[in-house]
Amino acid sequence: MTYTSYLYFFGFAIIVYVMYLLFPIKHRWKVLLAGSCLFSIILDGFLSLCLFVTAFSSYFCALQLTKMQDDFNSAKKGLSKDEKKELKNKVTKQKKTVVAAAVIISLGILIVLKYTNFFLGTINGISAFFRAGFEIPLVGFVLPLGISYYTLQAIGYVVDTYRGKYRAETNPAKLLLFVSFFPQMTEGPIGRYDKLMPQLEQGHRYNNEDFTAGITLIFWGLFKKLVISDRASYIATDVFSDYNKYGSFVIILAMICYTIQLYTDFSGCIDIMSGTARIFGIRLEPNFRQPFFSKSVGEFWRRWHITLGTWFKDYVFYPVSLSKPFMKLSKASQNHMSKFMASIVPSSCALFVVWLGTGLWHGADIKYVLYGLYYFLIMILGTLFEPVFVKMFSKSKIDRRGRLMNSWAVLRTLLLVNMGMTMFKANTIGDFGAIIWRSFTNFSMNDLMYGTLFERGTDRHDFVVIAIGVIIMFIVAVLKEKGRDPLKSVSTGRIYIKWPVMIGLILAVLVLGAFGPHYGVVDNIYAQF
Amino acid sequence: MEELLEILSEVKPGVDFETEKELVDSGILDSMTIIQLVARLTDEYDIEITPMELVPENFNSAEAIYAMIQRLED
Amino acid sequence: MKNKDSENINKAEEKNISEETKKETDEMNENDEGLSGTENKPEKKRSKAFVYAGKFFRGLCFFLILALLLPILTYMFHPKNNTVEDGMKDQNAHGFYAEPANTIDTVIIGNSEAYSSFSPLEMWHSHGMTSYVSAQGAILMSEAYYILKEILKNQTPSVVVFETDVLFPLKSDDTLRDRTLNNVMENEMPLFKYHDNWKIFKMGQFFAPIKYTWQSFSRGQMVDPSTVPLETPELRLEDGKNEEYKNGVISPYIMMYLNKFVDLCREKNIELILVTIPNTLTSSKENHEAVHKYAEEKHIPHIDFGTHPEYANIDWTMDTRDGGVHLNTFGAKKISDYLGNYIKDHYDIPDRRNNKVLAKRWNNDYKKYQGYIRYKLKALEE
Repeated sequence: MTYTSYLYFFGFAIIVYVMYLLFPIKHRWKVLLAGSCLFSIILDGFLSLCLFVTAFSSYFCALQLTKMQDDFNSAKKGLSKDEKKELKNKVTKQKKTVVAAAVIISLGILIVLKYTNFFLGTINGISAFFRAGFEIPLVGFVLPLGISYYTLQAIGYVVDTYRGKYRAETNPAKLLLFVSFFPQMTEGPIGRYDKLMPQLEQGHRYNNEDFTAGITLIFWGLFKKLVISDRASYIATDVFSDYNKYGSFVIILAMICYTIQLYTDFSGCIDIMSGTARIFGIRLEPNFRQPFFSKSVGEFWRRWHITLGTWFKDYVFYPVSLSKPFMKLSKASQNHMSKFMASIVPSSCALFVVWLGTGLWHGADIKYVLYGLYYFLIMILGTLFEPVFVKMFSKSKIDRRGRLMNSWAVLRTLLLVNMGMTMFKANTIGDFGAIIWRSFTNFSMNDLMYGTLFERGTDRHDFVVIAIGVIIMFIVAVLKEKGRDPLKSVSTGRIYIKWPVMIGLILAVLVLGAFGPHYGVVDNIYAQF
Repeated sequence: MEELLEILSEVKPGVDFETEKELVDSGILDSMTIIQLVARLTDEYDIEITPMELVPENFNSAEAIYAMIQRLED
Repeated sequence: MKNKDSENINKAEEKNISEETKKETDEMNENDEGLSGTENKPEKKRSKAFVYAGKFFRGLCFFLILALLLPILTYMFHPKNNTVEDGMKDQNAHGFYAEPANTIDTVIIGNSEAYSSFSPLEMWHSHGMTSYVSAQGAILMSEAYYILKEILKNQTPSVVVFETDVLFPLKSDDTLRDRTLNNVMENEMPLFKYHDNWKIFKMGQFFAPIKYTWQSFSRGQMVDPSTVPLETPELRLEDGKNEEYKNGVISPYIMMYLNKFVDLCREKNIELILVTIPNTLTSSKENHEAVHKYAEEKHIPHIDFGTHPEYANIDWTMDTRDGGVHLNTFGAKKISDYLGNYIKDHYDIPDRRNNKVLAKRWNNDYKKYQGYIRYKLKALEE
């Protein structure tokens, strides 16, 4: 059941919403819980099991952590300072064991299901290389949809209770709802307990503005996914799977189309889900903020898949850089290196861990590891050469914040990101190299001149629709960037703006959407992680 | 406070830390810079800054950072 | 607290609505939007019910506009003729639209097995019976049901022949669930099926009148006399290639629409015949047995050419066009001869050769059919 299927809208979402409104306010969260459980069962029975284990292990561990903290707080009264410190160390150790247990269970399920074959394959590869003469058969695990998202969400929750950010949830059913809330189950955004839970447990009454905003957001998401993404998918899939047939022009076009496809697929789906949640009166975390206007790769990752970035920042980057070995490294480098290097080396090491993790999170493949390291490398090089750039700009007297340099920065980021996306899509890293090589060396305009370009499953009509769609998205993005969200003004604006826009959007999806008997369903790319 | 401002301008030169109130939200201090700053602060003030403290509210202005240091020194 | 307050206000207002309707109509006009912010002020309290009523009314208007626009769009993108250029997706299966009303006495429905294995023109030639094969490759059971419904709008057949390969579509239950739902939506809301026609329509086509004129000379049959023999001389049922789908289980999503199909025939007093053509993809003893069991339960005659090869004596070295998956024209003639005799023996089907106008067209098309086969064979030889 994908978020764009009839089954989801007519057989699920509407029914859950009607039930939600029929229940007394106090009990409305139970409807959401029942809906989420049903959703996961329809998706995959095995998923429900994994979800259940993760939710309950997190529940018990977090409860234990809060209890230990309470015990400590009451026990420390009347103790001397040293005794307090000793007790605190002891309690911290115990708490660490508990939090480790929770992380190991949740992450363990994810790792076993997602990475077993990667490890075995690597071992087999090494064995073959040294002619060791053994080969471990691979396992046929099926990766449940959404496991990469809710696992991170559950871990974040347990770690936050460990840090004492908030008290543990006492109601296991509510925690299960937090982990499994259906709009964010398969593709995120990765939510935070302190922001999401109060909204979930509080019953929301029908609200006109929420409803209109939700519907608009859903159709805007459908527009991105069905009108743009699914049309762009054909040429990208076709060219990337058989790139040897094509010249540079088509390959570059396919690279651009893939970037468009990936963005509209992911952000469109997030919009559909945020819209669904909004109808229930719940606001999900934003996951995108006009990423293609970024001036640097670092900024891009703060605007693209935001909740994944902040998750890695809060639960990997900070703890790793503040951990004892890293503090030692930082001290050592301050003593042995120039000031500039000393400031870069420790955080770079932590950053390496983050990007390795981000790469691996996307998939168990050497390709994704390199994908993560690609961005790591760009960011490190950027930091390393920063003093050089500063010097260059001050010498040449070019205004670095000027219009021209800003446009160049955006364009450069776009190119680098496009390259990253290509690596993401290519089947193997060798393919990626070959594709890039071909796009530079095999210069040919034949496809454009003979019109054969339009015989790749994406005809000229599709290109026109994609182009118009992208222009509309661009206008919306510019307005958002200037602080005027057109979608918001649709839901709050006057009738003569609101209705034509909404009706136009709905009809555009109905008429131009790539669905119907001659289209296959294109799976959401980000749901596979 | 003087000392803190000095450290700040060493870690990130060219920012008016006395008036800026949205250091994190406006993107002046990114996570890399924050980590460098934290490393310096732990050294200079002999405090332990945990990941728990690394939230935008604690780093958005020089005063906020100063308040956090004082809290942790106790 | 805030929630509770407004809830009480709501209740209080609901009582007042009927009494104060008249007084407040004037106020209503003054207050446009943006009243939601003044919820708790007592002096504005009375008009709040009207704001809600107004909002509800506005929402209703919105859906009415949509509801008005949808039929217009549906018409715009609907095929204007039963040809591919005019927006019809599967031309051969929809040739029945152009047949004169109430002239088709036997309707044959199925997937690619059906359009390969039945020859209406052969049945015409030997018995003077009129029939049409409306079959689409890998058709879903729900689509089979809807196409029968569509045919019955203009035709009153006495017999419906259903080829049972449709019951074993080699797909998982989840896929069938999604596809069946999609198919049902597309048939109930034709805009979902045809919205893509903007790609092929010229300006004038959007509002042109709908007129079905394309006639299939072969009455839906795919005429292909080429031969690619089966590797083994005999087709054994247990040789079906798809292990996973050999166990004789009919998916619930198929069963649901099979039952609807059967009920539709009963309701219209049409005799239904199940026919099973063996093939190397879906045949297995279990699958054939499952159909047989269903037919017995529902008291429907079942002609199984797999379990009873002697009915038609298909020669798998000669009568198949792709090594045992589909029959060619020679195989189709054998099947049609048997089926024609069966229908003639068991049911009261009129001999349409007496109808001069009708017979002329059918006879012409039979000649065309034979000519086409000869032409094809010649082309194959060269």
